[in-house]
Amino acid sequence: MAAAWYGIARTAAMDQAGAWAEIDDGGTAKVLTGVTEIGEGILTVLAQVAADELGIKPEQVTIGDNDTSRSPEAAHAGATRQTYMIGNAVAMACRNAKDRLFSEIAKEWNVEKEILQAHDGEIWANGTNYKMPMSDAVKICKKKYGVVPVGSGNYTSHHTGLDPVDGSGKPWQAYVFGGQVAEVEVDTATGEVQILGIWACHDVGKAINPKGVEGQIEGGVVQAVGQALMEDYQQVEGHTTTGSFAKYILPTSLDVPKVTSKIVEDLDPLSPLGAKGIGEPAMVPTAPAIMNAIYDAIGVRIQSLPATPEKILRALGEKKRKSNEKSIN
Amino acid sequence: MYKLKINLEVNGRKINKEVNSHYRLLDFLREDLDLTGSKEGCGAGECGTCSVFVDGKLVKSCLMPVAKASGKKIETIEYQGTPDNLSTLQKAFYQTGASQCGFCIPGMVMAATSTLRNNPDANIEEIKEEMGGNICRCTGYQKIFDAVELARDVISGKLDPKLLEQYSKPKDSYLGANVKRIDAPSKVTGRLKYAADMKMPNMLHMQVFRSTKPHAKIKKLDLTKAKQVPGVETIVTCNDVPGIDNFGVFIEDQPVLARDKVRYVGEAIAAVAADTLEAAKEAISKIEIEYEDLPALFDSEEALKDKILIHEHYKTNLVKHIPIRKGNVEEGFAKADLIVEEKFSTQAVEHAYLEPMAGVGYVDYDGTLVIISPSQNITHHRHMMAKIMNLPIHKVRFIMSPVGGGFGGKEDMIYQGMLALCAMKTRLPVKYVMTREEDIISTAKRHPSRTNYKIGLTKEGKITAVQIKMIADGGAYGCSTEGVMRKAAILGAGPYRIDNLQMDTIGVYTNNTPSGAFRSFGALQTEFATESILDICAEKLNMDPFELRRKNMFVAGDLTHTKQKLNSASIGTVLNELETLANWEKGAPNSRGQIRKDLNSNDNRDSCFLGARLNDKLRLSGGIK
Amino acid sequence: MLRYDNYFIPKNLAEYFDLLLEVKNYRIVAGCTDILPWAREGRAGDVHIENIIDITNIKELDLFDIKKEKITISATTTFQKLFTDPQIRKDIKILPQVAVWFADDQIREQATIGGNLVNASPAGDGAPAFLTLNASVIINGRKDKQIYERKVTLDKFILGRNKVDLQGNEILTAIEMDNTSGYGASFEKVGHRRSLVISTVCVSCVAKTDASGKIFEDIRIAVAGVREVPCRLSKTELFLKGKNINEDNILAASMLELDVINSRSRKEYRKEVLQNFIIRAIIKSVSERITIQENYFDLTKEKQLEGLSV
Repeated sequence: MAAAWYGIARTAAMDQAGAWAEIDDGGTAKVLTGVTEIGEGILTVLAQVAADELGIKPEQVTIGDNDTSRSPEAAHAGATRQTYMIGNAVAMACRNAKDRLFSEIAKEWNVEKEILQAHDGEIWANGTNYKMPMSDAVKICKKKYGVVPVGSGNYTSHHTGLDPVDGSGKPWQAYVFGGQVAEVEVDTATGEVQILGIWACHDVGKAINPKGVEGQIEGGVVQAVGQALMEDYQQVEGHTTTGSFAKYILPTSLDVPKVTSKIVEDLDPLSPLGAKGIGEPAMVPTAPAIMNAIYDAIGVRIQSLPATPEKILRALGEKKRKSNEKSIN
Repeated sequence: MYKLKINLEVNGRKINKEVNSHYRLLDFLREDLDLTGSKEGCGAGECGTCSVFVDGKLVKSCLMPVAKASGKKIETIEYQGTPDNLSTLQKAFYQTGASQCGFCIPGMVMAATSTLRNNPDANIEEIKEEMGGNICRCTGYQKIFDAVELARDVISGKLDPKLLEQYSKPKDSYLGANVKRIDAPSKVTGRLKYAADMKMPNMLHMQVFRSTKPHAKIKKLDLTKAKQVPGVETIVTCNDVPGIDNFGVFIEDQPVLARDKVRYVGEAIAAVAADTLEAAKEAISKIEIEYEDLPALFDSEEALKDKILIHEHYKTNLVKHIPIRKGNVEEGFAKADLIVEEKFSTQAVEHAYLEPMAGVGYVDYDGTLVIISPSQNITHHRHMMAKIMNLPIHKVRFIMSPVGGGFGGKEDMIYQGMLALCAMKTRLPVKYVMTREEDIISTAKRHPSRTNYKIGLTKEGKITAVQIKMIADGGAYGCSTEGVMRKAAILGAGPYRIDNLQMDTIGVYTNNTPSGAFRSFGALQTEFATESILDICAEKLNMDPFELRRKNMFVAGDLTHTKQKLNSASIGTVLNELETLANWEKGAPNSRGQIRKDLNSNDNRDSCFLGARLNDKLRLSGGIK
Repeated sequence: MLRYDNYFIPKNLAEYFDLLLEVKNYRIVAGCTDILPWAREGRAGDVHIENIIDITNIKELDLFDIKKEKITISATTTFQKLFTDPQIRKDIKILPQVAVWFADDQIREQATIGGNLVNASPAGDGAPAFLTLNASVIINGRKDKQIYERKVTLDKFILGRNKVDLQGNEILTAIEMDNTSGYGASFEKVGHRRSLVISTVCVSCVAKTDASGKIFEDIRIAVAGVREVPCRLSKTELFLKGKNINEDNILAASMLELDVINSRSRKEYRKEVLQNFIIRAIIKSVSERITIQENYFDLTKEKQLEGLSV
């Protein structure tokens, strides 16, 4: 097994993200922010956040394209920051837009803004009979009261730099923790290792899309499996010898373990959503868990990655020689 | 260029066309028919993103000369379904969340379609085997398999088609709901356009002339013959850069095109923009260069001696050293009952995002420089580009194209500067697509690392002191090395209370391929060492590895290695949940693999020995489970 | 990138030979699964060949003949056909095993056994399997306007790394092999992963026991990946023939020809794996269920073999 921890968002520097939101005709919404979907599923997460805040369905949210001339800055895709920084920024922007809408609807129904609620495309006033579809509410807000329900939001994560001598400082606001257990099978005839199962448990704060979190864990684990067993970018005198996928070996469908994930939700107390992140932490404990499992299987510890079949057989040979020497002595 | 006539049927349409004779079927589909759902992830038959049906058989179209396809019936991903009318398999992919970056997905859908057509009852081993020719870098394959099994069961009638429609959701919230990915329909149908799929009228094609030397002065660069190749519109070098010529994620020390000298094999020296890809390549082959070899450095420890300098003006090859000091390690080790000292190393790793780097640059009707690329940080890229091109920042526009995998590898602005130069000079749109080989040798890698680790513990298992020194090869340019060292230092010693800690992470310049950002950078390398050495200690102390971690783990209120107070620390919960989840049998990690009882559960996959489809059940194991 | 000007697809041998007289600067291709990855950076780089001659439509190369003693299949048979054809799956068990270890399904649909043999790569998978089937290759050439045929045993056809016995305008048309109905088979490669594997050690074995199931009646073992040219382990085979099937004999056999390794790198590793593979190959080949003779092994015998620890 192996444990791990990680920090969320930009390291040792302030992190920021901005967003715009508009509740649109038909009770749909437009959200615009500098979001970089690289496959982790952030667009869907943002649609869920917007839908949840605004009281509509995620399928009704349109997220605009990431364009430095058209969308507000939300900084980069990396450092496991987008759910945290942009998710929260979008939440703030949506609250801002919703507030505008609610102010007008409160007038329309002559109720206090605080008792208004919206979910799944309907808006109502708690404790009263007032209720209508969001599409009607938007129409009234715009046509009757002349207010376009737009909003903007920003989220800041307060980090400090590190002291140059002792490294002290507050590099992040939020931390996540995780751990994995690996089960391996070693073919002692060839040194080939197969990873049969990985159990992964990760604290991600509030899991906005649990299936998406699983997908990140499964993907991260397999990337780490690649580094653990087969990938090796090699250069000789500065020239690459592994310059193609024939030589640089990636895990295929036949090489991957079954991954069983469990999500722990230790909500972040400092942010509106309580979510933290998973993208990078997912792959930190994997390689050591695998090496520890190989040791469990054959009593040989590989301390230099990757653990290729050659290294394993060589290590097994060493072990046998040492134990033969011992028994002779 | 030579042409040949072909006659074939593509997606039900009869096609009769003249095509470049040397095109592969993949080129014909993408360039001449604009069927860009089939991708070129590697061009060498290794990745499967180009899979299409030819007369009912699934083949890799990057390996088929177009002439071979004449007279045949071709079926591509575009024929399988549309975003508003998905095939059952595509619906299953959508349902299970099988698409992430989406670049491998058209190929996967094709491979899955082929698998189920050939064998509607395929079991999971048979499915995996038949899809073994398609690589995915994002998903870990699991949800792709889930999708194929789901589709198989819906098609056979075993499962209700309604299972393809619903998702689970908490009663009053969309937070915690398994909402289906909103970008999945465009990805499972191959309709989403990535940078390499984009076409603009009068578009030029860019190719790059790269260094074949790890460290050398550029004595002479002769572009005369290259410029004479018909179709060449411009060739740019560092002399064309109008502003301050450097970029980098943390340290901006890399020129858009090599200036005076080259520092690694693969470094860009010149870029050609021509009206066809073939003309651009021909021009590259006619560029003449004279190098003066310089002594080169390939080992970080050697480089630290500063006898040869990679960036002269820095006066040292040290990129960044991050120290952390807490307490007093000498005293800490003096208190220890057990001291363990070990060395660990990790290798350089390639991101291998399935989408090779690509981009389009042009100057729009407003005089704004526009770059479309799958960059992970268009905000920062815009900043740097404005400085490099000497333009006001609002006259530089970066548009993010769909990213076919990033993992940190698309944070470096490694080619957008060249696109900008060509676009500004020609005032025509310019497109650049890296081949896989080009991408592998020229873009940043994960920092390879060497770690010296010393840890002291009491016999009860309490850590008294930790001393870690990690040296990482930063390669020729700064890229993210500073950030990687910092993260490695802050997190490296693990989520444990350590009163006496001495941590040093050191990033060094060498003449190897630059090292840059890669998912979990710095932390992966150092935490690998920590978690390995803890198991070594657990064995020596005869303690269960979970127990050893519990003895030392952070709890709320503890100070981290950088003396930050943690308002909460879920590691305790995580360890408990993990132990239960894996049904872990307690015990010291003393190689009890042969006797432990918590193996071979249903949570594992079967051991793979090829031949699932041969019903070859005889499996000889020379090894130990 | 592979650039070429003309792509010819001759329809028959006569047309093919005529073409060879007309064009200069040409390259013969079949499946193209080797040439296209070769013409890329890091290997041959950008390559320009004036003329490509594709032999996959030559009608004389459309042969798939399975007879009781021998099978004769054309050089342009794809590896996938070796995997899917029901007769081959039933009777010549080594071939589908080779196929499933060869690249992946999609490449197998294009890659031809002839192309694989003619490339004569030391790591090539086809050759060791065909060697265990006592393969001969059938070659056609044309001299003085007459098309002739000659037959060469496979071991004499492969001359060295990337070198085969094809003279002048000769073309490999077909491969003739033993029909090993009644034999068990084993094929194994070692690699860093389980698919798309280029191997450093590969062992192919077919074997038949006598009626009692206790004695090696015939056994053929070939290795590749460890030397320039694949070869049969004739000493090992001779040792085993007629002997009892037991642990001691198998172990002794596995040690006889480990000096067959002739590779420059990772010699120790290859030696260890080769020996282990030979042991596994022998066991598997005699343990294979033989479908024609249902009760070939009595059950107790099977259990004994499974108990062997290696």
